Amino acid sequence: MSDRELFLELLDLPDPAKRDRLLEEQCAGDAVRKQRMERLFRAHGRAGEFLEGALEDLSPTLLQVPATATACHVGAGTVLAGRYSLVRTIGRGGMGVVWIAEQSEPVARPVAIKLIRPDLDSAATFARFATERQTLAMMDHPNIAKVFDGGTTEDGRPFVVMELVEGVPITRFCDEACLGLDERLELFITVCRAIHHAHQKGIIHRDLKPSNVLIAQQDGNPVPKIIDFGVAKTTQGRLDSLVTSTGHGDMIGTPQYWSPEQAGLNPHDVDTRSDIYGLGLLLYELLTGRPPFSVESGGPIGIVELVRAIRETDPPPPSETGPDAVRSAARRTTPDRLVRRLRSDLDWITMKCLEKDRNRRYESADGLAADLIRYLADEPVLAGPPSHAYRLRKLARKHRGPLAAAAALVLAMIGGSVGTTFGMLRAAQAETEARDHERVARERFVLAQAAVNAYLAAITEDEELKRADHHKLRMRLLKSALPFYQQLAAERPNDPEQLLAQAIAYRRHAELAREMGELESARVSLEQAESIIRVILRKPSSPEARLELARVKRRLADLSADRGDGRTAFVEYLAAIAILEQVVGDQPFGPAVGMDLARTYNNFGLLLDQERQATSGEQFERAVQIMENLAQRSDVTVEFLELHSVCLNNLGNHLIEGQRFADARRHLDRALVLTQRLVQDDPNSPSLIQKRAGIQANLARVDEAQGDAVAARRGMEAAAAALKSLADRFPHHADYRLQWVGVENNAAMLQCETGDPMGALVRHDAIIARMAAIAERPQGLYADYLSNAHAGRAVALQKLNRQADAAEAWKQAVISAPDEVRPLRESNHAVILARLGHHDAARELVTKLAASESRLVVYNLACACAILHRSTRAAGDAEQAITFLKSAIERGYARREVIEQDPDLEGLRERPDYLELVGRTMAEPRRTEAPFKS
Amino acid sequence: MGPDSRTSDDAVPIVYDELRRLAAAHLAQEPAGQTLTATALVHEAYLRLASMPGWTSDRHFFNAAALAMRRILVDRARARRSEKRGGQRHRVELLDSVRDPVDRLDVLEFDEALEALAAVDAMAAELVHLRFFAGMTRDRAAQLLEISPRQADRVWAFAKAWLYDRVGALDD
Repeated sequence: MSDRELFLELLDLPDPAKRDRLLEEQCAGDAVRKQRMERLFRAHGRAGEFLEGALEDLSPTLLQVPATATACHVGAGTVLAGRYSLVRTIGRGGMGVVWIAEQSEPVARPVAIKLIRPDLDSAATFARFATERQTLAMMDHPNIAKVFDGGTTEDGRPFVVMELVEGVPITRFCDEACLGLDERLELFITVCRAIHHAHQKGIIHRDLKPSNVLIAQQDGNPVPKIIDFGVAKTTQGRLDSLVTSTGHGDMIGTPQYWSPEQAGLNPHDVDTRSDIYGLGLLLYELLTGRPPFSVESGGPIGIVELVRAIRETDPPPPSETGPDAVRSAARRTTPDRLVRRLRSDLDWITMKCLEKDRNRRYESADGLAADLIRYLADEPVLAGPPSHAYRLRKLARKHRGPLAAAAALVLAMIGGSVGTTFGMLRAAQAETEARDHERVARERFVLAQAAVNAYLAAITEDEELKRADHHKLRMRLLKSALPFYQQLAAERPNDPEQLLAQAIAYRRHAELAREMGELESARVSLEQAESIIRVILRKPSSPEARLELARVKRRLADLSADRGDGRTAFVEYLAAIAILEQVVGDQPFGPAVGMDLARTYNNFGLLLDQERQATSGEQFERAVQIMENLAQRSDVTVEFLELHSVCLNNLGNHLIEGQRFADARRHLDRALVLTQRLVQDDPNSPSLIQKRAGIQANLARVDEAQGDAVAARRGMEAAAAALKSLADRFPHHADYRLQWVGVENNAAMLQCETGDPMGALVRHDAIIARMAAIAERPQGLYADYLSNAHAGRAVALQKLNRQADAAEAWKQAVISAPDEVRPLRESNHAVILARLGHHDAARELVTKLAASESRLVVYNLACACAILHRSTRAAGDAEQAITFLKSAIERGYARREVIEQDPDLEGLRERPDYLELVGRTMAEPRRTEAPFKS
Repeated sequence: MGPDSRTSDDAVPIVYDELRRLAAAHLAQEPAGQTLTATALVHEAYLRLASMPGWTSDRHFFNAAALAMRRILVDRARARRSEKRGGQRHRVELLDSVRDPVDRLDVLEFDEALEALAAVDAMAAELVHLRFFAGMTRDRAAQLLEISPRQADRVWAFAKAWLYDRVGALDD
């Protein structure tokens, strides 16, 4: 046992007797050791604060700066160059000390003087300093402190005379004046412009930080002034300032404002982009109230880690810095609002400045200013999510190879055929040579075609490119492939394979265009594709061409459905189905064709649903059946499984409408299991997350329909949360946002139903506010959801017994409703008008809606009439109520308990015709469905 | 010998030179009487030198730095001692509430004691090295030595008692 082990074991024994026993045992026959241990024990008792403290505290004189070291005697009162009288020091930097001085002639004014410290390599430093001073003097910008003069002291130390700026650091100024973000950005843009001016003169600041960007008052206006330009440069970069703290409380003692390159191997390797980084730091702090990197503990180890962090880790984007109430108040806003404003654009702009790789930052300070101006003008900014541009460039590079190869081959091919023609014209002895040329040309053609195909496949199948944030690039790359196909087709106008390839390229282009909402461009491409295929089909051709025609037809149908042209869509879907069924015939078919078929049926079903056609169920069933038949095969892809779950979901959805809840649950459960498995393999895929959320939302609808509102809410909230994070992640992707709004609305309605109408009301208000802010696509689904939100709001208000407010909300719901939902909203409005005693208005609506075929509308009309009867006692109202109720039940209104407990129907209860009737029902307002198209 | 097989001792001259250069630069710049912080010097040296190839680990570097710092201090203390022998006395004026800094540790004595401890318990000596001369916190030193903070506390207790016994013995 070593001395240490024994010592520690003895230390662990609280009982002195036991300790003695152990000591005796271990030191048997070794009196020296025993004595040593006893001394150690004694020392342990006395050591106290020994060694507890920093070396410099224990032995301060050893680390003290000797009096002889600072040889230059400069102090207050010293007069430099016969006209600058030093007053007091105001700061200390890497290069020396800054003084306030009084200039006596030619003008009397206060100035700032930076006195350079004598250095070991002073000659070189001084020489460079002199050159720098010349350069600085050339800068003439209202937002940059001017350099007036310079010289050397008696003992040869250079100094520089600068404009004395009396101001406060920009961050402090903004906080003290409680400037909002826009005002801060405007000041900051001025700073960017000034920096740009300097950069154009070839001058780099190198040390941008809040204490070097001051705000001075000029004629009552805040004017930014950048100080300390370029002067910070020393032979040792900026590391000098680390060792001693200045005691002024500024952050000179830490490297928190270093750029990654300054914190890197070669701190001298800075350029204008280091200033862009510096501007980013400033922007970050102006926006969030804290620097992106700082030392929490202040300890030196912290500094080592800080430098590592600057080199290696990305700070949280401004919106994720958790602004508190104080910081938000200094920006005249609340934490929530601040976070919302920072998210996306401002996050991206700031993070683009702070990229570790300076090639990824803004190229100029002016570029940064321009992006901020775009932001302020609500125009799209150039900056994307962090590293986005970089990733895009990387992807573009990745695909540039095949494209370049294709381009070269196409050129070579054309060269080859020209050569061929030329060769043919020559005399007969050249015939062999000419044949060779032609062979070469043909080979090149085949190669070129292969290269273009490979390029196209690479673009369309690249997983990274498929992600929502890369659509634009994918589209651009695809567009770049089209001319090659056209060129290839022009070379071989009669080659069906070539034509087919061209048609496919057009079709793929159309798919992407549609994904991006460029419906017209998609339609044009599809029509191109179709006309090309028609050319191929004039001659006997492969089934591939017919399959392709079916694909094009289906997409034309999808497009028509998107544009609300149901009739055209109907015809095109039928055409696509007819072609596909004919091609597959009795032959067994593989997953690829099966998916085409199932997709077509699925989308056809959705169209029929939308058009309220009863036969939609058959289409979904057929789609599911096709997928089930193929599901057992081993060659199914992720895409197949995804489509399978989509078909199951839509069938489930259809079954909910038909009130076959158990069957619906069975299909939705299967869809969820499939999707869940896919999400596990690819947890970040937005489209999978979206699908899973949709299925969850639909299962929640089943829960609700079966009376379990609590379970329904649980599922709906989970779906809403998932969709919200998607919408936040892809702010330019309207679908995610829209779907989130729909599901969020559902969740809020369930919150109301599970006993929290107040909470629900707040959420509905938020949804309406958010939709008002988006103000896009005020028709179709958007209008539907907005109307739904108003309806949800109205229901919550009714629960809170704010009937008049509820009436107003129903009115809003009517106004925003798309045509097909308006009668329903109006019928709700009629009910509340009846309750409020507005009999005439209520009756007017009842008359207007009397012919409706919707069981929900009719049920509401029954309620309105029953209420009217209760207050008017008019027999006609009661009869009308019974008629409507009967009609609702005939149309499938099936929730008996709702009818039996509905207070609106109170006035009818004793009537024998009522008692005959009582049946089953469903709830209002309508839940938003989550159907999928694929 | 490749750069990666450099031991702490081989690295010491480089760190030593860097620390001396840094100290000199700061001594030239700072006002008289101001105290440099040893840990900051070491960490500045780390920032400059850590990215050089040849360090096998942070532990390797900080041990070298601690050793270099220790040498600088010993050298300065030796120079000081000889100055004292020269017999120049300064009058000490006592000012209200401001005390001149007083050394509470004889660095030369401490240096010898630490040398002796290293022979008895290398880890205990290394811990003192890292904490005292390289200015590491307990946790960070423990991390470098790959022991738990609790273990570091125990080793520290032993080292402290051991060194106090040696250095403090003169007072007894």
